Amino acid sequence: MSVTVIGGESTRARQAKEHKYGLTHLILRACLDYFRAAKGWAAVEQGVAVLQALSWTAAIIATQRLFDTITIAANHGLGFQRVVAPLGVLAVVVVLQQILSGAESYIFTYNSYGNSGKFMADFQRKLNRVPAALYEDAEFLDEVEQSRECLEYESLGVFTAICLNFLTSYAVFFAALGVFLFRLSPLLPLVIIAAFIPAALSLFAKARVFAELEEDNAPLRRRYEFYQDAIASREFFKETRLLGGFNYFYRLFIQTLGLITENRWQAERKTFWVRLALNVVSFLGLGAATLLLFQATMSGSISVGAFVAVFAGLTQMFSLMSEIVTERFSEASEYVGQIKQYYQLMDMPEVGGRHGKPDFIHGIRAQNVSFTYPGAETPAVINATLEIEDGETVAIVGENGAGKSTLVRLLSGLYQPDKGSVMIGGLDSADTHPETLYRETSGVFQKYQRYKMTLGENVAISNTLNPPDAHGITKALTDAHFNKGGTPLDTMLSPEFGGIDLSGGQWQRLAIARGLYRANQFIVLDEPTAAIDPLEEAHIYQQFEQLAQGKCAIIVTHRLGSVKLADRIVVMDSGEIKDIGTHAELLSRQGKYAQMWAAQAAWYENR
Amino acid sequence: MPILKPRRYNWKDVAGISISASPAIVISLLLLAVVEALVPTFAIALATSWFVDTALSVFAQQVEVAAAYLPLATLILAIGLANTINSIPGFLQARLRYLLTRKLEPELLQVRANLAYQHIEDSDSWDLVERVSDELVDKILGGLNALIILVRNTAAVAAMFALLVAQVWWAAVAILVLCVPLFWLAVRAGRENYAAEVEALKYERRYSYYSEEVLTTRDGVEERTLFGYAPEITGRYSQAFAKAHQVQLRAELKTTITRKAAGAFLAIIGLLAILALINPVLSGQLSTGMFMGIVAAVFAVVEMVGGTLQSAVAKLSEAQFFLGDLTEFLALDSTAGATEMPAAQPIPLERLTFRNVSFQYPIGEHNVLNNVTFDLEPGKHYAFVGPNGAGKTTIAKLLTRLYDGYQGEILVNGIELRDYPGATAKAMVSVVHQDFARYQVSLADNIALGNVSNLLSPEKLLQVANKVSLGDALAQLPAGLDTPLGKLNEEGTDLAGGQWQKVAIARSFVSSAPVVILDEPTAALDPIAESEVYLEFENLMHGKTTIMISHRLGSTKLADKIFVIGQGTIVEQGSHAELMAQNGIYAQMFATQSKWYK
Repeated sequence: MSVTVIGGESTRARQAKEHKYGLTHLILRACLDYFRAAKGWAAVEQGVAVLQALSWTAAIIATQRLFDTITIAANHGLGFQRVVAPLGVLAVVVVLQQILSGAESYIFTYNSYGNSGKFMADFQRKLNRVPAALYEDAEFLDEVEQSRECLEYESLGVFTAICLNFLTSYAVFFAALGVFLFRLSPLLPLVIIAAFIPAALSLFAKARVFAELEEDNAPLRRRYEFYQDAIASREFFKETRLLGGFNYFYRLFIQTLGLITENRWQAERKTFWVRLALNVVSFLGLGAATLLLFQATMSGSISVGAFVAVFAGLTQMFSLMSEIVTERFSEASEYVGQIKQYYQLMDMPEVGGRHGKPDFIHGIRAQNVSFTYPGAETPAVINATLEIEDGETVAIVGENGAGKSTLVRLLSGLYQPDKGSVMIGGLDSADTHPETLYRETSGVFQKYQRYKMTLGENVAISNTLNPPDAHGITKALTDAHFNKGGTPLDTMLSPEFGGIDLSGGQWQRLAIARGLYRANQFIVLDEPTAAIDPLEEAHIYQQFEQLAQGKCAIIVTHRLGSVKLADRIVVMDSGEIKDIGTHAELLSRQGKYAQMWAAQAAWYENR
Repeated sequence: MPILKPRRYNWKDVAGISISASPAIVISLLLLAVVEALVPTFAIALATSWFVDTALSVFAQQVEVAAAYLPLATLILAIGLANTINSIPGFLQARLRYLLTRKLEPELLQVRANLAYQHIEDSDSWDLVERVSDELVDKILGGLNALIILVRNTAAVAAMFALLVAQVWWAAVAILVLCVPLFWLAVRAGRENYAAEVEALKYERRYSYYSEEVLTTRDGVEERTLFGYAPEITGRYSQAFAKAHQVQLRAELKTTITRKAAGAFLAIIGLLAILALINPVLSGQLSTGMFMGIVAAVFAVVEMVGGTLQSAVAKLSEAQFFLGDLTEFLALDSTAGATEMPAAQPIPLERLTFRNVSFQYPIGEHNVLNNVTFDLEPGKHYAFVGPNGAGKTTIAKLLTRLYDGYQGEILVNGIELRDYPGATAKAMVSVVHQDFARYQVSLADNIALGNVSNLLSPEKLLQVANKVSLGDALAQLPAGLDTPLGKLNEEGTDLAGGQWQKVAIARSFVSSAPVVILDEPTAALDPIAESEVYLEFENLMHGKTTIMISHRLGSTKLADKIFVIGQGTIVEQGSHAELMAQNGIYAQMFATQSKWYK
């Protein structure tokens, strides 16, 4: 891999599509997804919300009845029973309210939490279908991270719930109460609506403040976390301690901490004033509405009991309003950015193409292939042409950064070339479906994975189309010289999940076993033995030689000694193929390969 | 004065810790909570009663309309006050978060930096460290908030009691008595809720692992794509998720029912008290206005207390559990002088001796080193070879004092290593680790970190970069030595694995330590770079005592003396020629490797 410059300019020209992710589009899409994932329960949730909203209005009416009755009773001496009746109605309404709000909150949790799992699974499937090369792009990785958080913390679910609630809960409540109030005094609903217009406007200011804060703090937070890691993470701990680097990183840590907290505080302060202003405005609205009510009471058009009940209802309404505007809406607006990001990722073009069956009679053919990493300025592979015949083993050698790994990823079809074409078993890697393309391909990679799963699962994960085959797993482990032969296949390989850990060398052998377990006619070995000691390494290479018999195979390695087992050797330098030939041919040409060979072999001459 | 000290912490410390960050804010929050409880209950009840009674007098034509203006204004003001006050606690809490974060996070990092190394390697204590570090400020603020809610609720219930006791004392007492089982229920449900969360955590960790470390990572993309296991693992994700979902929902259902039952229960007690007020109104003992005021207050209390009691208790249980973790975390062993810089002038090495050193890892079952004895002379080059797991790296960990629980003696110039001050010991050894650090800072700082006690000129850094053959990489960096490395910044440039390794080697070259340990220093280098490093080795390490740990035997030929380690002991020692002549393990290993180059 070459030095990759990740520049700020490397935008993916998305601005053009910006309008596609407008607010209405996002809301509609989120609501549709919500109903699609939660099915009938979404409808039940909204139904309960409507009933709940109606129960709020019912409580106000019931209170008014009680107050009217008690006023009359006090003045005209009604009996005890006459007063108990409205009190009983109120009791029923209040208990009903508790039941409805309980049902609403439970069903909401059920839906939102359940949906987040379903959305996350969709997201995972999606990420598996985008081009693999994207994973080398820091910008993309950031977006993945943010989108995942958006799902994990249920931002999407909460956003949708707020939007839906606005309709089914708040709107219904305001409409019902509005009708009730209109009958008392036609001006009343108008005054209330007018009181909330400035409040709604000030909301946008708050949303902007927080969007800006996020923009400023996101890169700072990454640095903040890194400085912390540089001092205290497992990866850096011992080296930083021995170097005495604590003070250096601690200073950087304190600086970034200061910036992050200060930015956040400034935003909080700004929005506090907004919120305070909003409260004053809504207070003025409430005052005006109360005066109207007062007039109506004094003119005798409504009773004193109605005044108190409605006054209490108004208070509830205003606190609900300010809850919607200052909490729910601003929460939703904080999520909009994340949700947009999520949907943009979900809409990314996928790798697809024809199905079929690769036939390695045709070998592997790369024609004038070039490839540049997303965001990089210089190509990692330039105009490479290479043919691998059926049953042939090819080794790729070269210095660090010469483009070996990239070429291997192109030849195995993991990456699609920018220019030129790669034919794998007669199928063009650019328009063949991954399932078909990789069907007969296996590999062992430099960055092999240490799955926190059982030993058996760690091997069988390379072939999940068929049920795991204990015999095959054991054979692959033996072939890879995984010498913990006595370890049962169901041993969990992770202390975190209550199992054991392996040494680096054991993990690497396990990765080899994984590569071997997958049935293949084409195998890629990208520095498969870096962490294994020499005696074992020699065994494993001999094993490879046997395993590669009759298959297409590519080996990338720094240990030149091991490339002799290849039929041909490809020499790479600065992204280009400089030479191809057998060991003997290349030595006789006195080129780069001969130079490298001499450099390494010299250390093994017995003085 | 640090806030975090090794002592026992419990739930009360959510307040204690917050107070040490800002007493004024905590007191204001508590006072506001009381006001917040009293305004919608006490104040509104009285204002309502005043207004209604005046209004009724107006209707009865006992007083003028103007007499109702003052009570009306009071009523509106009381509501205005309640509305304005509720935005202040959020603001104060934001300020408290700001202060706590600035105070606690640096302290936390210092504690972590000073931890004994065994806690870093041990997965149990490491889990604890991560748990505490991730959530410290959040848990404390969450706990404090819960405490404040409890204070507020108590004040609200007290206000209701005060309103009622004057009218129907027995109803007031009944409410207080009935609040006891309500509280008990809330405590139980809150704890249960927390227990369910802990149980679900097991499945959550599993599915988070699939989603964060298997299905969406950069490093796994090759295997993931080629092996096509994503659909299968996504299936397992969904299974684990469904289990966690099930556990959480069961608890959620239970707590929702108890929460709402408690709310309904409280409402009914309130309504019963109101029922008791009807007769006093009918008999004229209680004014109509007071009746309405009390009804409004009762509903305000039900709304305030009903839903929040239980979640506040759950939050406090969480905080209590967390503070137990914090107690345990702060009790972990630390290493004195861990964050010190190495001494600027290292003491010259005369002799380095291992005498009968045996060592067992604190969590290990058997000795990794068994009676190891050897003697190193200044300025010579040594190699330790042997299979994986033989104990080579452990020797490096003892020399760098990451572990000091060994038996036997490690003597530097005749003095036990453990008796040197930390800064002096640090200045003795530099290491090029197998898993070297990739610091996401500028190239210049990456190299200069190798010698933090002395200021290195840019010329010197440039010279070192060229010496370790980083020249080509340097030429590609947009801002030369000052280019930030890695992908942390937008202007950052990432290096290839081999280039990073050269940076690590450069760090040890600038160090003034007399002893250099090279633990597989060239594992990621290509043949030419590897050979260059070896050829430069003599030149770069001139005058230093080097310990090369390697299983690539070619490089060990540079050593004046080779130690072959097998199962924790030295099985062969001597120069390359001597060991070849012995025809033992070393000769066999060398033969296997050199065969490839014949």
